Amino acid sequence: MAKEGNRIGLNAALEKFGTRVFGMLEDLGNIFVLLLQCVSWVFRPPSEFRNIVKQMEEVGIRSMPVVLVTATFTGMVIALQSWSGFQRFQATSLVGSVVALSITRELGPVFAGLMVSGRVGAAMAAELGTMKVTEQIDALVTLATNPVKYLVVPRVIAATVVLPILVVFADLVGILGGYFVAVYLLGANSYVYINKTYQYLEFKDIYTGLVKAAVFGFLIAIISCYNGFIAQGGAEGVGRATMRAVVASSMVVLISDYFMTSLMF
Amino acid sequence: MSREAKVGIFVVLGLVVLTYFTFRVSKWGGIGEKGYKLSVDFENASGLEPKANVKMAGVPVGKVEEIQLVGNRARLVLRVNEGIRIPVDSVASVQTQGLLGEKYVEILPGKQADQMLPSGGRIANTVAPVNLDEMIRKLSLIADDVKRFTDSLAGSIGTEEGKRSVTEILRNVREASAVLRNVTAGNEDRLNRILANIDTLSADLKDISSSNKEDLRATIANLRSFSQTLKEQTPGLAKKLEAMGDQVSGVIGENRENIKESISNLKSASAKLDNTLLAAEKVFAKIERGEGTLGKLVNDNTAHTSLTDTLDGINRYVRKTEALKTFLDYRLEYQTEPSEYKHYVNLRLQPSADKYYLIGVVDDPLGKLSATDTTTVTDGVTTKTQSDTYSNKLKFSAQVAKRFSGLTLRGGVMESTGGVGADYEILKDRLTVGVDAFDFTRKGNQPPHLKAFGNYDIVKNLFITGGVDDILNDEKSLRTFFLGFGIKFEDEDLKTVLGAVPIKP
Repeated sequence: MAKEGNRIGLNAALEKFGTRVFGMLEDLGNIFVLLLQCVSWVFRPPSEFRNIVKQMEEVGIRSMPVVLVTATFTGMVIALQSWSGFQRFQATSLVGSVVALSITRELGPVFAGLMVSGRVGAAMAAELGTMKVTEQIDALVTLATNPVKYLVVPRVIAATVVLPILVVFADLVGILGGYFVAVYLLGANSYVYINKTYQYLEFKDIYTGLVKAAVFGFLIAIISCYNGFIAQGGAEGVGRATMRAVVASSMVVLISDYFMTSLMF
Repeated sequence: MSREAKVGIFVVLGLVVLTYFTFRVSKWGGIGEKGYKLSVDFENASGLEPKANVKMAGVPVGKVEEIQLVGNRARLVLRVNEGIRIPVDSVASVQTQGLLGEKYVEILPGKQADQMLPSGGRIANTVAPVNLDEMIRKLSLIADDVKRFTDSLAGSIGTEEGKRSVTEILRNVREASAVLRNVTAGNEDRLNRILANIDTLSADLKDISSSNKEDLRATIANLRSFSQTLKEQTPGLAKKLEAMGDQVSGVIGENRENIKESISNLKSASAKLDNTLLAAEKVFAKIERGEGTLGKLVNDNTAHTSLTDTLDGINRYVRKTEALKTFLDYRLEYQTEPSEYKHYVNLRLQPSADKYYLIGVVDDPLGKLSATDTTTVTDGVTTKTQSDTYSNKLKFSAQVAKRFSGLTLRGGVMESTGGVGADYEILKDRLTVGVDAFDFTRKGNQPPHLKAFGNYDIVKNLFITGGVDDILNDEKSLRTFFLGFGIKFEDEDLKTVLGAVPIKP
């Protein structure tokens, strides 16, 4: 009996695991389908211009403060940390280069992506999830409006376009934050700092960051919209959808970041 | 503001910042690069990175764009700013900013101002980069030399004697120059006269030679006629010379044997000289090979080492002798009971501030106790009388002393017996109070000799002393107060004498 029970337990565990895996694969497939639908609807008239602009305001302008504050402090802390490291071998003149490179190549895009996924991804999933559980999306269909075209496409376009712009600002304020800390708090030579910042910085460093940001924006928007679409079960379902959207999009930001970096190294 | 306007401002601002970055970063995908390229080959480009500076006379004129390996050498592609002209015979070298700073390429401009390197040209002349380790090694060798030099300088000039002699030399020079100045000042007129005389003399000479031009000409004419005569008479002279030669050969013929002998003597002398030289050569060769005493001395390092050791030893010894201080003191104590004078002479050897050795001689009026038993028989009654007499005695002291801040503990021989003592010095060592205890086994069951005293230095070399001597001994009324004075001084000459005594350092 015990053995039978064990087998049943093992079977149950395997079954649960399998269901999980299949569920993930299903999600992945659905997201891909959504992505294809999205792409196919982008080029079909009528364009949702007003809607896109509204989403750009939401994703871009409203996210500015949080992204800028994050980037400023990131630049400041890198200046502080690399100063304490470089001081050990008298290379503090290189702090400017380190701050500029790490902000533009890595930290600007990633932190902006994480902030946007927390702020905007959650909002998207909650909004769409609420519409789903209150059957407003079904209502759209009955009004002969494609929900993907009306709801998803503007968000995806807005996020993809706006995130790189956010990252440009993040790069700027991050470098300025590092400059502030190094020059005014640590006593670095201002001319040397600026000189070193630009000496080793290449345009490639900036544009790879922007490409990453665009991909992050795209992924965040599509994952959040998908999680909103599949919400079910009232307010609780909306909450769960929001959580899943934020977790999934944050993880995707970090994972895709590694692969894109290694691709564009 | 409309939503569209806000988004528009947002996008435009982003593009503005991006554009700013684009123009500030140093490389923009190969577009918009300014300047022209030059290449240069180095044996070693270690430490150089792309974007390292290219400088001329310390002014940045471009950047290193690429570093590749071509064959076994490093080829650098430099991008030099527009408008910078580099002569063909310029020399490129890898330099370091400071001792450990970043590397850059320095171009030393050549002299050919008419031929400039074209775009894509190559700087042919390079200087191999300095190997830092090698440089530091050389520098440390030089520093060693310098240190040896300054050490010996410090040894000669740094000492008191050196300083004295330098001062003396300077004084001599000053005196000499003063004397010279006095001489010239006192004899200015005379010197001027001498110079004037020389002037007139040379003028006279000139006069003479110009006024006697005619005479000179005549003299030369005479010489000419004389040579003419000589020429005419030469055949006769030749004949005479021939006859004389015959005579000489006759003489030689007669003395042939003598001459031969002389020559053979000369030969043997030269052979001997040869032998001597050969022997000398052998000796030198031996010396060079390090054989024999001289050879060992010259070639063997151990000789040098032992010489150095010896010198070191002497040095150490001299230092010790120098550190050693010797003090002499003499003191006179007047004892009240019985009234006697006691004299002390002490030599104090002080190798360092915290210890000294004391050797002394004491002239003690109560030094020697001799008891005589006299037996007198008076009227059949035998009376035994014991009379103690004290006689003068020289006693010797030899003590070692160790000082612990104010307190000095002494021990050794005191007045020819074993004893210990302690001193305490106060008032900046001017006042010394102390106790000596010695002579523990005295004749006649007397207690040990205990002496308490105080010394006060009135001036550096003069002190007064006072105290109680033989405190415990009241039995034989030997306890006595004493007063006295003494002189003490540091003796330099005695030390030199001691320094000559061979002590193992």
